[in-house]
Amino acid sequence: MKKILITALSVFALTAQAGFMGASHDWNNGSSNPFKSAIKAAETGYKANLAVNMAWRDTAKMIKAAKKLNAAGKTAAAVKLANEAHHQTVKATAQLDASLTADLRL
Amino acid sequence: MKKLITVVAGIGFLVGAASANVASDQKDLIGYFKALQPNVEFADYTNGVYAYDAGSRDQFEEILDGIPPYEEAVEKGGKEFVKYGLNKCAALKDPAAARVKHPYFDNATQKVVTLEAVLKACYLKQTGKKLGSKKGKIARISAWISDQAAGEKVNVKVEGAAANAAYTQGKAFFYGKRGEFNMSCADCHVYNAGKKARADILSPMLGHATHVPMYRAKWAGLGTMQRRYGGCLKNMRAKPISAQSELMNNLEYFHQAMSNGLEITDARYRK
Repeated sequence: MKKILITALSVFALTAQAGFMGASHDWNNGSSNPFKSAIKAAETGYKANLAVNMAWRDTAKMIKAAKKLNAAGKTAAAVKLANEAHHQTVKATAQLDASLTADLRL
Repeated sequence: MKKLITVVAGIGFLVGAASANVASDQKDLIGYFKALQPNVEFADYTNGVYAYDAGSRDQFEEILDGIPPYEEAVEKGGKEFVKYGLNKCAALKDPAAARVKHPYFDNATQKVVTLEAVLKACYLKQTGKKLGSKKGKIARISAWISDQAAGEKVNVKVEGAAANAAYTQGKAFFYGKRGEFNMSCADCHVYNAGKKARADILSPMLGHATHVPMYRAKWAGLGTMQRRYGGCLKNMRAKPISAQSELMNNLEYFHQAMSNGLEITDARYRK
């Protein structure tokens, strides 16, 4: 009985907290700024790609351009570009994974 | 005594296995290209892409019959070799031997040593200044050194487990896909060699090491093998990796080893 009570109270507390945050809250990276989380993901991915020599040619340029757009107040375009840059880093990571298991013979 | 024999035999087996790896890789490659272009003899791969296309070959020979556009630069490289005292460095005393010896795996540093790496180190020692890695002075001097070995054969040795690991990393790089176009070096220079990419014929990897540093009409100048790596990576929309870094040196190690047995040539013109 005690256990059920503790579980119920915990679920209630978490639900209440989630409700307090509101529907607009971005749960990604704990940030409420969509550009901030998108650019952080892109930059983290790019840094990881660089460390293993798998970075793509234009990712850094895209990150730079996204920051410029955000500074100019064009948030939607900035988020879109940052997400594209992040997508590149994810694909570059996948290339590395594939190369580790690739058959190197003709 | 029995243990000693076992250890020695084991080491011998490992060395043999590592060397056999290069030989079997090259055998596969030669077989592949033989099936692709049955009329092209192995020795003709010294001329790279010009072994494939008669029209390009005529143009190439016409350029060589005249005054090749790189001749002056290579001569200048020879003068610079003496001017900067590079002949005083032990590794470069005999330029022809230096070209044939490099790249090699140095067991002391556990790293691949390229001819350009030796040139850079020697230049720094003699002048106190740094030398670039891709074009200009280093390409001129390296081309002049390679000219001294014209007619000799590429003979990259991969002996021992550590050397084999470096070679394998270079090989993995060559066959691994990278960049936005998701392409590997092999996609162009093995699987599609001889086919056209826009107006150019893709060169076979066999023979890539015979004429480096090469003169490219596109560059209007000489460039080292690793300058070309940078250009290829950019074309594949991958971020180029620093010339003379460990990874690029390992790639060159594998790449040059695949041309073992082909003649080094002073005909270094490419489109």
